[in-house]
Amino acid sequence: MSKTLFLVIFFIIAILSPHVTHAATLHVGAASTSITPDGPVALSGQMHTRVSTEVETPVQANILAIESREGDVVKDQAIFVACGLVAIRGGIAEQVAAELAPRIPDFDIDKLILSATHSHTGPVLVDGNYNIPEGVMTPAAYRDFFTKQVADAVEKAWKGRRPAKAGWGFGNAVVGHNRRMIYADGTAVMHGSKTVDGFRGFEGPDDPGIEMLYFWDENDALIATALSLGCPAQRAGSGSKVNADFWHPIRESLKEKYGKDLVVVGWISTAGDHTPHLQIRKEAEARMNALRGLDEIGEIARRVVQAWEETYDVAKNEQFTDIPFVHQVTHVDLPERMVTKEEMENAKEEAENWSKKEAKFFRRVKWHQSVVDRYERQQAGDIRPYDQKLHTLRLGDIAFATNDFELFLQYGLQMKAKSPALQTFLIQLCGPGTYVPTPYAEAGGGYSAIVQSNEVGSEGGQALTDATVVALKSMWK
Amino acid sequence: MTRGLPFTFGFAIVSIVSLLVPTCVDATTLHIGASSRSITPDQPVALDGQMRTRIARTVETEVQANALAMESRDGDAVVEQALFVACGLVAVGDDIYQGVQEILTQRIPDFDVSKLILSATHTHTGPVVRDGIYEITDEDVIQPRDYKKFLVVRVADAAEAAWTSRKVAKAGWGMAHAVVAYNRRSYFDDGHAQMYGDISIDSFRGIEGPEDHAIEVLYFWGEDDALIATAVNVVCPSQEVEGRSAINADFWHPVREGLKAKYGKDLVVLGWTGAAGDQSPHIRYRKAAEDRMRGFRGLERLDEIARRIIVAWEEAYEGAQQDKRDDLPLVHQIVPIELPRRMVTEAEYEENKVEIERLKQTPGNFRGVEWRGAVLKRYEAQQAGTVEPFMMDLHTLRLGDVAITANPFELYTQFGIQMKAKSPALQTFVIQLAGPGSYVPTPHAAEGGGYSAIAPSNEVGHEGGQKLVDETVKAVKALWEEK
Repeated sequence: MSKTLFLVIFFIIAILSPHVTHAATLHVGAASTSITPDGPVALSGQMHTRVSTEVETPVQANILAIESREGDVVKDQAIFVACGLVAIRGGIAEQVAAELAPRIPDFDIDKLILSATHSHTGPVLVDGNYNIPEGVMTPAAYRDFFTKQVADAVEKAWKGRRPAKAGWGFGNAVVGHNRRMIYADGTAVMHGSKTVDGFRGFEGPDDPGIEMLYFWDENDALIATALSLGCPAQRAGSGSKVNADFWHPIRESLKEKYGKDLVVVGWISTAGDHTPHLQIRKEAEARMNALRGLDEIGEIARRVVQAWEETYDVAKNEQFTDIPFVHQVTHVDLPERMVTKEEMENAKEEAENWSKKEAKFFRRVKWHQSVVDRYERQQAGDIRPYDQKLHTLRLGDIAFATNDFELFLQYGLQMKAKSPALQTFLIQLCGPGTYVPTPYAEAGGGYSAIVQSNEVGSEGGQALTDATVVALKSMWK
Repeated sequence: MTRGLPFTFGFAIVSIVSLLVPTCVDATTLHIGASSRSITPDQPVALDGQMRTRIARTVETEVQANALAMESRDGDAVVEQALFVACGLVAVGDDIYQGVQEILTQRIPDFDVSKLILSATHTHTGPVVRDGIYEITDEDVIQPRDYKKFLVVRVADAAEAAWTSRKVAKAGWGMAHAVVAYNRRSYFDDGHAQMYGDISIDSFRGIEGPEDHAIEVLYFWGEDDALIATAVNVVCPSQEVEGRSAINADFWHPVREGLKAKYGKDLVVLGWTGAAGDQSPHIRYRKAAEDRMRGFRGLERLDEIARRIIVAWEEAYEGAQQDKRDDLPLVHQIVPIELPRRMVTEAEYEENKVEIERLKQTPGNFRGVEWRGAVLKRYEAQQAGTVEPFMMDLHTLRLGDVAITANPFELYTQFGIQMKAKSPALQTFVIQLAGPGSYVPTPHAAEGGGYSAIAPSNEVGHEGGQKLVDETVKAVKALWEEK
């Protein structure tokens, strides 16, 4: 081959390859911290008040700090904080950012991403949603505690960043189950009965795929791993003890095998219509679990760890040191779901009925009343689009995209299918976490697809998907 | 790994579960036999399953008939019987079934041939078994009628060998998961759906329905605890290499070989396809990521599928072998049922007429013309008032705590999910393609249309699918009401 021809071929390959843009060295830091308070605390995620006086497994914040540099020049940055909470609410993202900004001035605080694992057995963050008894930590006190714990750990992760190598892989584990049942009359019900004659199936598909990310230091020691999983961590859902759900045994198992300092970051992919609760074959699954000597959370962890190891065994052979890292932050206005008159009237009636019941149902009264208030506001001409702060990142061949919601899986499937990345890690619940249903789900109704459950409806869900895909594609141009 | 329960407590739970699951009727001893035969012809053969004619002149992996015979006895008295044969074919027509029955009537008169269940794995790289649907002009290629003569003898050989080798045995069952199937119907913003529709375009809105990643497994051991046979219910047709022009048993070949290598060369492995009319082993999204991982493992796609199934099989086996049963009920019911046919509308009739004329303009569309032509005949029969309902014998079985049911269709997964959810059994094995195998879509799919949910694809529509589910559930419940 002539030298000229060689150069031409090299040039063509260089143009076609996504590896060559913005090559830089990667610096990574990681840290873990407990976000479990010492005293009694109210738990978030159910319609009634639960007070935990005991810790089954500690809820944590797990932090991953990434910076790319070209020589001494900083090219881009990100800090991910995965929290064992139901959602990122009550202003905690802003509170943590305010605390951190002066402590790590070399970090662009706009590039901080907090996400929740959706544990339903983690502390309450928002004032006024539950009737919290005397002697129990208030949401405000918990937010202060959380902020201090997280800020300290983020600072540690950021300041501890060092040259690192990245790798990624993909595996499968059946963890998430679609929890919306459809019926002969066209209705849908979350966790509806599967044994009645009218049951016709599941409303949508599952996503058993697990996207996995690994970081090693220069000595090839595994520093951190992140997993994006299509299922919220809420198997321990209605319990009244602090519990990190399946992320706890996953973390403990991986740390036991791969080093006690390994930081395991748990991300929930789009899974608004999913749950780890078994929907069919419960007895058969229970029998298999019992024969293994595992409970359901232990079995979920077994599957995830098995998928992680299957992937790690081969993915560790391809470690990247010189890859592009881009972090885009944009804002997208998503249309608010409009409340119809009929919906308002139903909500009003529900609010009145629930207000006559025990005080612990206060949350349910508020939930219905908010629809009435929203209707009146909208009728007065005050329509409020949702401001989605959208983070999209590229790391080598893979992409990341965040959203604030409990986004139904079909939107995530669209994002992954239309993304130009080899793997697209989706992180939901980077905000307050209201459900975003599909048009099909809206037609079926039921909790999670009715107006009470949705600040943003299917129109907004599609707008978010389209904006995410545009942002992802722009990083591959 | 956290072990949430100590083993003793675990066994206590198993016992409680066993008590809660209704146990049966008269305990009997179980006799099991199993056998395999090749159903691969020696000469070139046309392959079934695509719209175009493909001729196989090479054998990549052998297609087989794998047979499992069950008989329960009370002392010397026969209580119940069943004979399953899983075939590496796209489907099993009535002519094949009757042909095998005729041979078995002569050869094994102590077997009630109405209790024979033939099923297909749905490989699209097996011989043509339907007359007149492909143009097969090469003289050295075996014609379907001749292949079927060979086939029925081989299937009967496998069945007879299984039957005559039956001996006192123990049974076990279990389940685990493997991601094999992908729902292959995509839907779009205008409401239409399409099998294998492009998922990267702007208008793609999602995947039409669920998958079922469960792997349900039956195990049979001899009195010496040697594993004789296993039946593996995977809710996915075996058609990963469906476009090839060579004989290939698809993923069941490496599954069989993998299990035999580990658990004995005489192990008989039956591959049962669950309700999976809208499923496929073709990866629908994240294909590059999956391929990269597989590349690291140095596996072909069929081997990767087999790896997953074998891992699941072994996980289930680990549990099942702790709970072997040698004293359990076997009941085999056969209920004749009638299902309403999907009616062809006038618009569908006209549309297919136009499409046939278009197809006739291009050579090589023989199969497509024949496929759409059947719709015209159906419409004309409707107009003449001569349409008969779809008649089928519904087989439902109870073996201890598990139920087994068979249907002749490519049944959408939602119907199988309903059967499993409404069944009183601990595990319900659903075997589709125990017959000629036309698609049965859901109402949602019928609205979206597209291949597999349109009139030419459906002899029976969603009303018939629901009736099949209801009849199946009723029959399975009856098995648990036996005294």
